[in-house]
Amino acid sequence: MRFFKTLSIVFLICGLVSVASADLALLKQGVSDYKNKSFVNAAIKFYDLTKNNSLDEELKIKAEYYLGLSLYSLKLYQASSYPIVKVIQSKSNKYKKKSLLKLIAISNKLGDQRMLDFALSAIDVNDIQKSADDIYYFKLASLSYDKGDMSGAINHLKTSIGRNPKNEAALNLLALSYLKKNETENAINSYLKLLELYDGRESSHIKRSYTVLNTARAYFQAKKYAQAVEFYIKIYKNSEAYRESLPELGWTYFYLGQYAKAQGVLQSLHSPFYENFFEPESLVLRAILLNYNCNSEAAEVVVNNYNSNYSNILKILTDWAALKANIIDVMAEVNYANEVLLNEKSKKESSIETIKNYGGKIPFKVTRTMLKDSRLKAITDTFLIIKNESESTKKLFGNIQNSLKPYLDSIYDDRINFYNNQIVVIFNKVVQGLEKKLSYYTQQMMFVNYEIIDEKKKQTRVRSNQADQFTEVSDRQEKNKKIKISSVSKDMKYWPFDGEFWKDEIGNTLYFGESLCVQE
Amino acid sequence: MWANETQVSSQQDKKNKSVKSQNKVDINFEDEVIKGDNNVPEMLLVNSRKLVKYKDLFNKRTDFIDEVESNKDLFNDYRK
Repeated sequence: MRFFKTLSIVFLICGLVSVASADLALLKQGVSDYKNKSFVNAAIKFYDLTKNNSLDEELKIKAEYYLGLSLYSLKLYQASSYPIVKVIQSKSNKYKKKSLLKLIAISNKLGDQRMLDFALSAIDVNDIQKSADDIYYFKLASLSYDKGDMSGAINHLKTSIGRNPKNEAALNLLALSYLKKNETENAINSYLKLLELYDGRESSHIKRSYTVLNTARAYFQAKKYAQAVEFYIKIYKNSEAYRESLPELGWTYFYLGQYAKAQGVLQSLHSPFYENFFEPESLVLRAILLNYNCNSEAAEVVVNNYNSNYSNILKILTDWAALKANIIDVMAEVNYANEVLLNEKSKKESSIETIKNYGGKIPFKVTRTMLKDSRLKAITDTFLIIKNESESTKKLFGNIQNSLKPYLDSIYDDRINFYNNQIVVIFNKVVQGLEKKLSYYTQQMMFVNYEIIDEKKKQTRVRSNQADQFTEVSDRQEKNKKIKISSVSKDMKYWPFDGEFWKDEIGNTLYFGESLCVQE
Repeated sequence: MWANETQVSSQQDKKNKSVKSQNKVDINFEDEVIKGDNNVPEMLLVNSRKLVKYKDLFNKRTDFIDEVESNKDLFNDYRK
């Protein structure tokens, strides 16, 4: 009896040793697969090891870490974050630092701010300072920036740029942080350094165009309007930044007192070429400019134009909250707008028809502006990445018998549900933001309208007091029409605007109207 | 009947007047009279309207920080 007991203990020990050696062999095989870039096989082996309860805790952490690395190498970033977070939360310190840096990299790939916050809060700056690169400091700066701590952000950004002077994101955020502190000179210097990085790039290069635009904005904030104009007019017409620059250039000319130039810029913006853009501010500015020239009648036309275009939109945006939209409603709006945008990009003629038959509840011109919102853009981008990753898991693991696939499916189902809800929340926030913005401009337009009526009364009184000048004003109105023709040089032909336009006219529109103001 | 009633009431009025006249105090306001002309408001009105017009009701743009902020993610290449 005793003999059998001893024998069973010996078998048990032998069994345990053989299990342990089998686990070790599997771990070695997994590492070998990983090194040979056979990431699918490696991931399956490491996952099986993490589910093995008899495995030593230290080895389990190693398996989790390598599972994270394997999934990361397969570009399954969301899935890779799960084992990596487990390693960070474990008691073992061996893979902690590397895992934290990996998690920062994953959060970058996914654009997941909460993951980044977690990683940065778990990291010990002193511990990691020597090995940390510019990206790490940029992320620390982003965190300070989001909290509204501009001085903290600037310090981290300076360190980031010190480690990599060509870090575009850091240079751009540094300039923005300075603008928020109203340190415009420093902001301008940062933008000029960033611009140097784009030397030699083509004029339509998107980052170059936006850097030129942002530099102009910094000069504008510094009240250096002449320099601002120099940068605004450098923006290439075919770049995305061009349309955005037009109302701003209008404001700059306004401050320079060059009302005619400002009107010319706005005329381009209000041509049919840009009719499907959300531009309430430019109409407000146009009414202001016309009123400054005492052209009350034209200013009133602009006010009416604003009301007919935007009062309905304001109502739609206000009513949107009552609809209690779900993800299907929101995605329908996004898809309708994306369809038109795709048509625009491919320059299909049917894009005009698509807009006419537009199915969205929110007008296209509003949704296209919403899609440019950084919050909505970030979350929809992340959602797309996760959906693509979810599809990839089917391709990578669907044809092999393994226990990893159900685990990956559960991760992606959970995250897709989460992002569905988040997209609705953020979409509604963006709608509220636009509603607030439009309400503000509607109020501004009411003030402008008051000014127009006030100016009209004043001018009427002055004219009635000075009957001889009154005829002079009507002469001037007639003269305005003649100026248009006589101002055009011999090799050009004056073509009065009558709804139609040529694309090359955009940005070259001249305004010939002169001031109708009568001095008291 | 009517005539008698009116005679009685007039006699009562005379009595009341005699009571009031006993408490009468004379006050001379001649030194306190303020003499002045009406001002024509037209000029004043014009000036005051000019003061109101000094500042426009609408807000003028002083910065484009929101617009700059909206393109900050464009420069973040780490996701690619």
